[in-house]
Amino acid sequence: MKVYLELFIAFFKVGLFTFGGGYAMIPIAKRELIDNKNWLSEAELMDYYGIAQVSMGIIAINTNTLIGYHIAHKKGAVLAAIATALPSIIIITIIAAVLEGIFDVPLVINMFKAIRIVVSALIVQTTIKLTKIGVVDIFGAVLFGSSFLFIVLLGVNPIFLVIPSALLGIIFYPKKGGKQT
Amino acid sequence: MIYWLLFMEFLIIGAFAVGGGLATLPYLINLANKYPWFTQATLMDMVAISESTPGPIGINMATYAGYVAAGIPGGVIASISVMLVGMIFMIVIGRSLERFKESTVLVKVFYGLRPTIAALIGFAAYTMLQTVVADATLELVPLLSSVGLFTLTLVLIYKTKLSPISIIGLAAILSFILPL
Repeated sequence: MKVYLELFIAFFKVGLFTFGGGYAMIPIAKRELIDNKNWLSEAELMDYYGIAQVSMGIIAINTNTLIGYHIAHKKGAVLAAIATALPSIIIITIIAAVLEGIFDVPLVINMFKAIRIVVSALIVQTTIKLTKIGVVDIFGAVLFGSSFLFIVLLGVNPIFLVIPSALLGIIFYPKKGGKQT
Repeated sequence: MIYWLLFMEFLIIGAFAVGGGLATLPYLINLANKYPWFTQATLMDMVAISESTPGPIGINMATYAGYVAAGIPGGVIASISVMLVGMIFMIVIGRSLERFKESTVLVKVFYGLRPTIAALIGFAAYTMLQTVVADATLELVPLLSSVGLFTLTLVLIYKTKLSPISIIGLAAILSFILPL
Protein backbone atom coordinates (compact mmCIF):
# COMPACT_ATOMS: atom_id res chain seq x y z
CA MET A 1 0.00 0.00 0.00
CA LYS A 2 2.83 2.34 0.92
CA VAL A 3 4.32 2.24 -2.57
CA TYR A 4 1.01 3.36 -4.07
CA LEU A 5 0.79 6.30 -1.70
CA GLU A 6 4.39 7.30 -2.44
CA LEU A 7 3.72 6.94 -6.14
CA PHE A 8 0.59 9.05 -5.94
CA ILE A 9 2.32 11.85 -4.03
CA ALA A 10 5.35 11.89 -6.34
CA PHE A 11 3.28 12.11 -9.52
CA PHE A 12 0.92 14.66 -7.97
CA LYS A 13 3.98 16.85 -7.34
CA VAL A 14 5.16 16.38 -10.91
CA GLY A 15 1.73 17.44 -12.22
CA LEU A 16 1.56 20.39 -9.85
CA PHE A 17 4.93 21.84 -10.79
CA THR A 18 4.91 21.29 -14.54
CA PHE A 19 4.58 24.77 -16.03
CA GLY A 20 4.23 24.39 -19.78
CA GLY A 21 3.94 21.36 -22.01
CA GLY A 22 5.18 17.82 -21.44
CA TYR A 23 8.81 18.91 -21.79
CA ALA A 24 8.56 21.20 -18.74
CA MET A 25 7.85 18.05 -16.76
CA ILE A 26 11.24 16.48 -17.47
CA PRO A 27 13.40 18.40 -14.94
CA ILE A 28 10.82 17.81 -12.17
CA ALA A 29 10.35 14.15 -13.09
CA LYS A 30 14.12 13.65 -13.15
CA ARG A 31 14.51 14.94 -9.61
CA GLU A 32 11.38 13.50 -8.02
CA LEU A 33 11.29 10.09 -9.72
CA ILE A 34 14.92 9.35 -10.58
CA ASP A 35 17.17 11.21 -8.12
CA ASN A 36 14.84 10.92 -5.12
CA LYS A 37 13.12 7.58 -5.69
CA ASN A 38 15.35 5.71 -8.10
CA TRP A 39 12.27 4.32 -9.85
CA LEU A 40 13.85 4.40 -13.31
CA SER A 41 16.98 5.52 -15.16
CA GLU A 42 17.46 8.68 -17.20
CA ALA A 43 17.72 6.60 -20.36
CA GLU A 44 14.36 4.98 -19.58
CA LEU A 45 12.81 8.40 -18.99
CA MET A 46 13.95 9.39 -22.49
CA ASP A 47 12.61 6.17 -23.99
CA TYR A 48 9.20 6.67 -22.39
CA TYR A 49 9.08 10.32 -23.35
CA GLY A 50 9.88 9.29 -26.92
CA ILE A 51 7.08 6.73 -27.02
CA ALA A 52 4.67 9.25 -25.50
CA GLN A 53 5.60 11.79 -28.18
CA VAL A 54 4.41 9.57 -31.00
CA SER A 55 1.32 8.16 -29.29
CA MET A 56 -2.16 9.59 -29.16
CA GLY A 57 -3.17 11.59 -26.11
CA ILE A 58 -1.41 13.90 -23.68
CA ILE A 59 2.40 13.54 -23.66
CA ALA A 60 2.92 14.17 -19.94
CA ILE A 61 0.15 11.75 -19.00
CA ASN A 62 1.42 9.10 -21.42
CA THR A 63 5.00 9.40 -20.16
CA ASN A 64 3.88 9.09 -16.56
CA THR A 65 1.55 6.18 -17.34
CA LEU A 66 4.54 4.30 -18.75
CA ILE A 67 6.67 5.19 -15.73
CA GLY A 68 3.83 4.16 -13.41
CA TYR A 69 3.56 0.83 -15.24
CA HIS A 70 7.30 0.35 -14.91
CA ILE A 71 7.06 0.90 -11.13
CA ALA A 72 3.89 -1.01 -10.23
CA HIS A 73 2.16 -2.40 -13.32
CA LYS A 74 -1.46 -1.61 -14.16
CA LYS A 75 -2.35 -0.08 -10.81
CA GLY A 76 0.80 2.01 -10.89
CA ALA A 77 0.03 3.17 -14.41
CA VAL A 78 -3.54 4.26 -13.63
CA LEU A 79 -2.51 5.87 -10.36
CA ALA A 80 0.36 7.79 -11.99
CA ALA A 81 -1.91 9.08 -14.76
CA ILE A 82 -4.62 10.23 -12.36
CA ALA A 83 -2.16 11.76 -9.90
CA THR A 84 -0.55 13.75 -12.73
CA ALA A 85 -3.90 15.06 -13.97
CA LEU A 86 -5.45 15.82 -10.59
CA PRO A 87 -3.67 19.12 -9.80
CA SER A 88 -4.72 20.43 -13.23
CA ILE A 89 -8.33 19.44 -12.72
CA ILE A 90 -8.46 21.11 -9.32
CA ILE A 91 -6.59 24.30 -10.27
CA ILE A 92 -8.37 24.87 -13.58
CA THR A 93 -11.78 24.27 -12.01
CA ILE A 94 -11.03 26.89 -9.35
CA ILE A 95 -9.76 29.37 -11.95
CA ALA A 96 -12.69 28.80 -14.28
CA ALA A 97 -15.16 29.07 -11.40
CA VAL A 98 -13.92 32.03 -9.39
CA LEU A 99 -10.57 33.38 -10.51
CA GLU A 100 -11.20 34.14 -14.17
CA GLY A 101 -9.38 37.51 -13.96
CA ILE A 102 -6.35 36.27 -12.04
CA PHE A 103 -4.08 36.50 -15.07
CA ASP A 104 -4.71 40.23 -15.39
CA VAL A 105 -3.25 40.95 -11.94
CA PRO A 106 0.26 42.47 -12.38
CA LEU A 107 1.68 40.51 -9.41
CA VAL A 108 0.50 37.25 -10.95
CA ILE A 109 1.85 38.18 -14.38
CA ASN A 110 5.20 38.98 -12.79
CA MET A 111 5.19 35.69 -10.88
CA PHE A 112 4.61 33.65 -14.02
CA LYS A 113 7.37 35.56 -15.80
CA ALA A 114 9.71 34.58 -12.95
CA ILE A 115 8.58 30.94 -13.13
CA ARG A 116 9.11 30.82 -16.89
CA ILE A 117 12.66 32.13 -16.49
CA VAL A 118 13.43 29.46 -13.90
CA VAL A 119 11.82 26.68 -15.94
CA SER A 120 13.77 27.68 -19.04
CA ALA A 121 17.04 27.49 -17.07
CA LEU A 122 15.99 24.11 -15.66
CA ILE A 123 15.26 22.77 -19.12
CA VAL A 124 18.61 24.01 -20.43
CA GLN A 125 20.32 22.10 -17.64
CA THR A 126 18.21 18.98 -18.28
CA THR A 127 18.98 19.15 -22.01
CA ILE A 128 22.70 19.18 -21.32
CA LYS A 129 22.37 16.25 -18.93
CA LEU A 130 20.17 14.14 -21.24
CA THR A 131 22.29 14.91 -24.28
CA LYS A 132 25.27 13.44 -22.47
CA ILE A 133 23.25 10.29 -21.82
CA GLY A 134 21.48 10.07 -25.18
CA VAL A 135 24.34 10.93 -27.51
CA VAL A 136 27.04 8.30 -27.14
CA ASP A 137 28.79 8.26 -30.52
CA ILE A 138 29.14 10.03 -33.90
CA PHE A 139 25.85 8.54 -35.12
CA GLY A 140 24.08 10.03 -32.12
CA ALA A 141 25.76 13.40 -32.56
CA VAL A 142 24.75 13.60 -36.23
CA LEU A 143 21.19 12.53 -35.42
CA PHE A 144 20.98 15.02 -32.54
CA GLY A 145 22.27 17.87 -34.69
CA SER A 146 20.09 17.14 -37.70
CA SER A 147 16.93 16.57 -35.62
CA PHE A 148 17.52 19.86 -33.83
CA LEU A 149 18.02 21.76 -37.10
CA PHE A 150 14.99 20.12 -38.72
CA ILE A 151 12.71 21.14 -35.91
CA VAL A 152 14.14 24.64 -35.35
CA LEU A 153 14.47 25.65 -39.00
CA LEU A 154 11.60 23.75 -40.60
CA GLY A 155 9.22 23.26 -37.67
CA VAL A 156 8.87 19.57 -38.55
CA ASN A 157 6.32 17.65 -36.47
CA PRO A 158 8.28 15.58 -33.90
CA ILE A 159 6.61 12.38 -35.14
CA PHE A 160 8.47 12.74 -38.44
CA LEU A 161 11.74 12.87 -36.52
CA VAL A 162 11.08 10.20 -33.91
CA ILE A 163 9.90 7.44 -36.25
CA PRO A 164 12.75 7.80 -38.80
CA SER A 165 15.29 7.91 -35.93
CA ALA A 166 13.96 4.64 -34.59
CA LEU A 167 14.45 3.11 -38.06
CA LEU A 168 17.94 4.64 -38.35
CA GLY A 169 18.73 3.12 -34.95
CA ILE A 170 17.89 -0.33 -36.31
CA ILE A 171 20.05 0.21 -39.39
CA PHE A 172 23.06 1.88 -37.79
CA TYR A 173 23.25 0.01 -34.49
CA PRO A 174 26.93 -0.88 -34.06
CA LYS A 175 27.67 -4.58 -34.63
CA LYS A 176 29.54 -4.98 -31.37
CA GLY A 177 31.71 -3.13 -28.94
CA GLY A 178 29.47 -0.05 -29.00
CA LYS A 179 28.99 1.67 -25.67
CA GLN A 180 25.24 1.74 -25.21
CA THR A 181 23.39 2.41 -22.02
CA MET B 1 -27.30 13.94 -22.19
CA ILE B 2 -24.45 16.42 -22.02
CA TYR B 3 -22.14 14.32 -19.82
CA TRP B 4 -22.27 11.40 -22.23
CA LEU B 5 -21.66 13.72 -25.20
CA LEU B 6 -18.69 15.30 -23.41
CA PHE B 7 -17.29 11.88 -22.61
CA MET B 8 -17.54 10.67 -26.21
CA GLU B 9 -16.22 13.88 -27.76
CA PHE B 10 -13.19 14.09 -25.47
CA LEU B 11 -12.51 10.38 -25.80
CA ILE B 12 -12.26 10.90 -29.56
CA ILE B 13 -10.09 14.01 -29.15
CA GLY B 14 -7.71 12.04 -26.90
CA ALA B 15 -7.59 9.21 -29.42
CA PHE B 16 -6.73 11.40 -32.39
CA ALA B 17 -4.59 14.20 -30.98
CA VAL B 18 -0.96 13.18 -31.43
CA GLY B 19 1.84 15.48 -30.34
CA GLY B 20 0.78 16.97 -27.06
CA GLY B 21 -1.77 19.29 -25.54
CA LEU B 22 -1.88 21.95 -28.22
CA ALA B 23 -2.64 19.26 -30.79
CA THR B 24 -6.11 19.08 -29.21
CA LEU B 25 -6.81 22.70 -30.21
CA PRO B 26 -8.14 22.05 -33.74
CA TYR B 27 -10.57 19.50 -32.28
CA LEU B 28 -11.71 21.95 -29.61
CA ILE B 29 -12.35 24.60 -32.27
CA ASN B 30 -14.48 22.01 -34.03
CA LEU B 31 -16.41 21.43 -30.77
CA ALA B 32 -16.99 25.18 -30.40
CA ASN B 33 -18.60 25.23 -33.84
CA LYS B 34 -20.62 22.07 -33.27
CA TYR B 35 -22.10 22.71 -29.81
CA PRO B 36 -23.25 25.79 -27.90
CA TRP B 37 -20.85 24.91 -25.06
CA PHE B 38 -18.26 27.63 -25.59
CA THR B 39 -17.17 30.11 -28.26
CA GLN B 40 -13.88 30.35 -30.12
CA ALA B 41 -13.05 33.49 -28.12
CA THR B 42 -13.43 31.52 -24.87
CA LEU B 43 -11.09 28.96 -26.40
CA MET B 44 -8.34 31.53 -26.86
CA ASP B 45 -8.61 32.48 -23.17
CA MET B 46 -8.45 28.78 -22.36
CA VAL B 47 -5.20 28.36 -24.27
CA ALA B 48 -3.62 31.32 -22.50
CA ILE B 49 -4.68 30.07 -19.06
CA SER B 50 -3.76 26.44 -19.82
CA GLU B 51 -0.26 27.46 -20.83
CA SER B 52 0.47 29.47 -17.71
CA THR B 53 -1.12 27.28 -15.04
CA PRO B 54 0.66 24.18 -13.79
CA GLY B 55 -0.12 20.81 -15.30
CA PRO B 56 -0.21 19.27 -18.77
CA ILE B 57 -1.75 21.72 -21.29
CA GLY B 58 -4.06 19.09 -22.79
CA ILE B 59 -5.60 18.27 -19.42
CA ASN B 60 -5.91 21.95 -18.53
CA MET B 61 -7.78 22.69 -21.74
CA ALA B 62 -10.08 19.68 -21.34
CA THR B 63 -10.91 20.62 -17.73
CA TYR B 64 -11.62 24.21 -18.74
CA ALA B 65 -13.74 23.28 -21.76
CA GLY B 66 -15.64 20.64 -19.81
CA TYR B 67 -16.25 23.04 -16.93
CA VAL B 68 -17.55 25.79 -19.19
CA ALA B 69 -19.82 23.27 -20.92
CA ALA B 70 -21.22 21.45 -17.88
CA GLY B 71 -19.77 22.60 -14.55
CA ILE B 72 -17.52 20.58 -12.25
CA PRO B 73 -18.68 17.12 -13.41
CA GLY B 74 -18.13 18.28 -16.99
CA GLY B 75 -14.54 19.29 -16.23
CA VAL B 76 -13.77 15.99 -14.55
CA ILE B 77 -15.39 13.91 -17.30
CA ALA B 78 -13.62 15.80 -20.10
CA SER B 79 -10.20 15.47 -18.41
CA ILE B 80 -10.53 11.78 -17.69
CA SER B 81 -11.87 10.92 -21.12
CA VAL B 82 -9.22 12.92 -23.00
CA MET B 83 -6.46 10.87 -21.35
CA LEU B 84 -8.22 7.49 -21.41
CA VAL B 85 -7.21 6.12 -24.83
CA GLY B 86 -3.57 7.17 -24.44
CA MET B 87 -3.49 5.65 -20.97
CA ILE B 88 -4.83 2.27 -22.11
CA PHE B 89 -2.47 2.29 -25.07
CA MET B 90 0.48 3.06 -22.77
CA ILE B 91 -0.44 0.16 -20.47
CA VAL B 92 -0.37 -2.18 -23.49
CA ILE B 93 2.98 -0.71 -24.58
CA GLY B 94 4.33 -0.89 -21.02
CA ARG B 95 3.50 -4.57 -20.87
CA SER B 96 5.17 -5.34 -24.21
CA LEU B 97 8.22 -3.27 -23.24
CA GLU B 98 8.61 -5.40 -20.17
CA ARG B 99 8.20 -8.63 -22.11
CA PHE B 100 10.64 -7.62 -24.85
CA LYS B 101 13.08 -5.75 -22.63
CA GLU B 102 15.98 -7.86 -23.87
CA SER B 103 14.85 -7.78 -27.51
CA THR B 104 17.65 -6.53 -29.74
CA VAL B 105 15.24 -4.68 -32.00
CA LEU B 106 14.00 -2.62 -29.07
CA VAL B 107 17.56 -1.85 -27.98
CA LYS B 108 18.32 -0.68 -31.54
CA VAL B 109 15.15 1.41 -31.71
CA PHE B 110 16.05 3.22 -28.51
CA TYR B 111 19.62 3.66 -29.72
CA GLY B 112 18.21 5.72 -32.58
CA LEU B 113 15.50 7.36 -30.52
CA ARG B 114 17.54 8.83 -27.68
CA PRO B 115 19.61 11.40 -29.62
CA THR B 116 16.40 12.68 -31.24
CA ILE B 117 14.60 12.87 -27.91
CA ALA B 118 17.55 14.85 -26.53
CA ALA B 119 17.18 17.17 -29.54
CA LEU B 120 13.43 17.54 -28.91
CA ILE B 121 14.05 18.50 -25.30
CA GLY B 122 16.76 20.85 -26.56
CA PHE B 123 14.18 22.38 -28.87
CA ALA B 124 11.85 22.82 -25.89
CA ALA B 125 14.65 24.66 -24.10
CA TYR B 126 15.15 26.84 -27.19
CA THR B 127 11.40 27.63 -27.43
CA MET B 128 11.18 28.37 -23.74
CA LEU B 129 14.17 30.74 -23.96
CA GLN B 130 12.50 32.49 -26.90
CA THR B 131 9.37 33.03 -24.80
CA VAL B 132 11.46 34.39 -21.96
CA VAL B 133 13.28 36.78 -24.30
CA ALA B 134 9.96 37.88 -25.82
CA ASP B 135 8.66 38.46 -22.27
CA ALA B 136 11.62 40.61 -21.32
CA THR B 137 11.21 44.30 -20.69
CA LEU B 138 13.98 46.33 -22.25
CA GLU B 139 14.70 48.42 -19.19
CA LEU B 140 17.78 48.13 -17.06
CA VAL B 141 16.29 46.87 -13.79
CA PRO B 142 13.90 44.21 -15.20
CA LEU B 143 16.54 43.04 -17.63
CA LEU B 144 19.15 42.66 -14.89
CA SER B 145 16.67 40.86 -12.62
CA SER B 146 15.73 38.45 -15.42
CA VAL B 147 19.33 37.63 -16.25
CA GLY B 148 20.07 37.42 -12.51
CA LEU B 149 17.19 35.00 -11.90
CA PHE B 150 18.28 32.82 -14.83
CA THR B 151 21.86 32.73 -13.55
CA LEU B 152 20.74 32.11 -9.98
CA THR B 153 18.71 29.09 -11.15
CA LEU B 154 21.71 27.59 -12.93
CA VAL B 155 23.94 28.20 -9.90
CA LEU B 156 21.38 26.66 -7.53
CA ILE B 157 20.80 23.59 -9.70
CA TYR B 158 24.50 22.92 -10.25
CA LYS B 159 25.94 23.95 -6.91
CA THR B 160 23.25 22.98 -4.40
CA LYS B 161 20.92 20.06 -3.86
CA LEU B 162 17.80 22.25 -4.08
CA SER B 163 15.09 20.54 -6.11
CA PRO B 164 13.52 22.15 -9.19
CA ILE B 165 10.29 22.45 -7.18
CA SER B 166 12.00 24.46 -4.44
CA ILE B 167 13.65 26.71 -7.02
CA ILE B 168 10.29 27.36 -8.72
CA GLY B 169 8.84 28.19 -5.28
CA LEU B 170 11.74 30.50 -4.54
CA ALA B 171 11.23 32.30 -7.86
CA ALA B 172 7.54 32.75 -7.06
CA ILE B 173 8.48 34.42 -3.76
CA LEU B 174 11.26 36.51 -5.32
CA SER B 175 8.81 37.73 -7.96
CA PHE B 176 7.16 39.94 -5.30
CA ILE B 177 10.33 42.03 -5.00
CA LEU B 178 11.84 41.55 -8.47
CA PRO B 179 10.24 43.66 -11.22
CA LEU B 180 10.60 41.55 -14.38
